[in-house]
Amino acid sequence: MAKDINLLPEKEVKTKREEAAIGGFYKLSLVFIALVAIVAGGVFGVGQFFSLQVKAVERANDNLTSIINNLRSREILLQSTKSKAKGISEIVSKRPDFASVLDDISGLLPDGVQLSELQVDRKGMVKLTAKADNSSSLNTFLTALNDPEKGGKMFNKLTVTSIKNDKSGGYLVVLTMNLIGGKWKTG
Amino acid sequence: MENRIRELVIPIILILVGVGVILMGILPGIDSIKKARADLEAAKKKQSVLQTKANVLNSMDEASTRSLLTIASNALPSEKNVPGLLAGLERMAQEASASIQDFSIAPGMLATEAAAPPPTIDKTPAQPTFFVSQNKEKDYGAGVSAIPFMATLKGNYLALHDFLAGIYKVNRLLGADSIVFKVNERPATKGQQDISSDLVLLVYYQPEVSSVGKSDMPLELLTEKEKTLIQSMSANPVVTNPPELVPTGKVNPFNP
Repeated sequence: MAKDINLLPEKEVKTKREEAAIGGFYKLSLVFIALVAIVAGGVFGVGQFFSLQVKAVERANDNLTSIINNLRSREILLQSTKSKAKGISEIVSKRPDFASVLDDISGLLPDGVQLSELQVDRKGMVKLTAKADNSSSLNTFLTALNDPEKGGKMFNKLTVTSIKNDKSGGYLVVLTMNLIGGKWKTG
Repeated sequence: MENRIRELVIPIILILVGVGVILMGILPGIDSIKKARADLEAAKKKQSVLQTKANVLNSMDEASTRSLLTIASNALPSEKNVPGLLAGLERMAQEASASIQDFSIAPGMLATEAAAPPPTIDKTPAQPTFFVSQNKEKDYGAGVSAIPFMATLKGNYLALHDFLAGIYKVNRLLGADSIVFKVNERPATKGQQDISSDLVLLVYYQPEVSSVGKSDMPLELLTEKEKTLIQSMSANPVVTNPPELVPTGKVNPFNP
């Protein structure tokens, strides 16, 4: 029959408690080392699993790479064609259409106004010299260029550089403007 | 007391060993697992790319791709070859009832970079910079460059307009950088309006792809839109027939 610890002498009580504590500590260390061993084993196993998987996939990749290397000429052919296709798409979508600019400007010219010089560059800058038979024709032309429904859709920054009388009693006007819309595109 | 300490040695050693195993084995092991997982993911992704690439290359229609490349190379050659183009442009001008009076290409544009003249400082008095061509070896996107080609055309407005519209409808990619239309005060034929046009035409080319990517680089496939675009180029009138070659060899090099 176990003795009540409280009835034991103080020294013996202390000894018993120390023994219990040491015993507990011992068990704890055993449990700890066992857990560490289990976890270490698990980690090693999982590590090996992934490592084997990686090796297997890499072997398959090596096989595929050698297949692709045997088809290198086809890859070069496809890449060259793709590169040309990209270039053609880029240019076709961006090259400015000067013929359409001529059409746009022609569409704004009223009777009695004719161009004597026209310059257009890739950035969409337009400089034109026009002869107008009279002030009414000139006014119609400038109004059409400024009209938001007509010229305003195609040009901005319209600047009248000069207007002067010509020998025939008409007017000679020099204009600059920037193309912004219509079929114009800059590239 | 000594006995007590002796009894504590074994559990302390066990705990120290356990801590050592955690620090030296388990934690690095977990890192290795993370790395192995990442490697596995990367390897699987690579496998997927390689598999797709191998399938595409295996099933590729080589003949039709080669035919597309031929058409595309005519439209956008890899080199600055222009001799065939000169005859083609003259023919286009004739068909539009215009005539080409003058052709020129800036020095160095047909040569290699090394042969191009060094840059010079323009000492002429200030001029309006309206039409200064900026196209020397400019990149027009997707690695495309262009040779600027100065040409002077004469004819009536419709002829010049047709010529200008025609450069967008030929089998070789052409464009224009600037146009100057001027009415001639003294027309060649009385009663007919004569216009001269100074054009800077652009003859596009795209240097060859110098190297292909690594085997695990994904393939860029031709889209249907791109195939249709290339095929549409072949339907355009031919402007770049190779020039007809004549026999060579003379006794007197100054004889015609």
